[in-house]
Amino acid sequence: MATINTSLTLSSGDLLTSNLAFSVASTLTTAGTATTGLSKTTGLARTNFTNDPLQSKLLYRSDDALTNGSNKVYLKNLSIIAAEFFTIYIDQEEMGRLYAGDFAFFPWTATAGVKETFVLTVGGTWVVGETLEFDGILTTAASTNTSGIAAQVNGDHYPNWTTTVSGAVVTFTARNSVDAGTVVTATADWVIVQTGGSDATAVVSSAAMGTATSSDIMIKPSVVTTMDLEHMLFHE
Amino acid sequence: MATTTAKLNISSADLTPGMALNIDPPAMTMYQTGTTTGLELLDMGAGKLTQATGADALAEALGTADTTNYVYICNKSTDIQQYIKIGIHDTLIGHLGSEEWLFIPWNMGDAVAEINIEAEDSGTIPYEYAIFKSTFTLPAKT
Repeated sequence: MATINTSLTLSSGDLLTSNLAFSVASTLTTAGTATTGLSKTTGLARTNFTNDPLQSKLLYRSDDALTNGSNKVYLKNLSIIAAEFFTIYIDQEEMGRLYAGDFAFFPWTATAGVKETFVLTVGGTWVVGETLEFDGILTTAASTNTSGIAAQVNGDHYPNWTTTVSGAVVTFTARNSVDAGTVVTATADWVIVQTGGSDATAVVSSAAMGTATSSDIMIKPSVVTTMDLEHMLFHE
Repeated sequence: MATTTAKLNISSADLTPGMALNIDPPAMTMYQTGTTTGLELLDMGAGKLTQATGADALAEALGTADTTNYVYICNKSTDIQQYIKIGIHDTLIGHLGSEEWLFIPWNMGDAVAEINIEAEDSGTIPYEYAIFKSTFTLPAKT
């Protein structure tokens, strides 16, 4: 556990007749605890935005932090041109505009969605050298044993999926929560190249659709020329 | 014009081994939209929020769309079980734990962009807030 201290001072000598001057300080702790400090972070980062046409960037995914955790986000617009701003979105809701030199610090619920899952069963009779392909990953059968081939699939690294294996059955879980509408992964998404007239199969069953997260943080710059954002996520 | 500043510090000696964290940017001056003219409208106060079934609007979006506004809210409760849900209209931003604060820009982009707060999980939570605005339209009399 770490100790993270934060403070904010708001002051003005001429906004009101009386001086405005107040400060607050807090130590970041996990939800519902007084002494357990937040200990996870993305680290302090600087992200450049240069794109034409203007596009938002997904800064933090809700999947990256604990839903309803005591997560905190720090943002700072590093621009020195007064008119340049970043627009901050939580899901589809616009929070506000972060102008040159401005910072923001706020709690974040990171409301997660549901990750799509499906089960793949390797069956039939396989010949060494036959292949199956999914998500851009090609697996070449090193044996005729279905459990062995399932283990090979489980040992691969899919860009969009994580896997676990039990015998000839591999369970896939999406890395990110996405609402794919009505489409789920099906047997047809797996491409098997057979040789020698084998009847190798890889059958998808128990597919469960995912749902989208509802509090991803997205940032959009105001100009197509270069703008830099400093940011950091503290999370559970 | 007024000069109003906000100064932030985030520090930790042990969050990242071998590299003490010290985010200590220069104080930011709150300017009117896209200018170097200071903000001059301020709404601030303190209150007590009682746990209920729904959220209450801390501030309605009664200013001009696409303008610079800043919101400060602090949960003054010392009970670690008490937190304030902070939202913009139907979107939940986060949970503000006891003695925690936030400082965010706020675009009163449309009529359904109110800042809302809700006490959880029980009892009454003292809070304080300040909203610095570029523009503001007084509600019509009833």
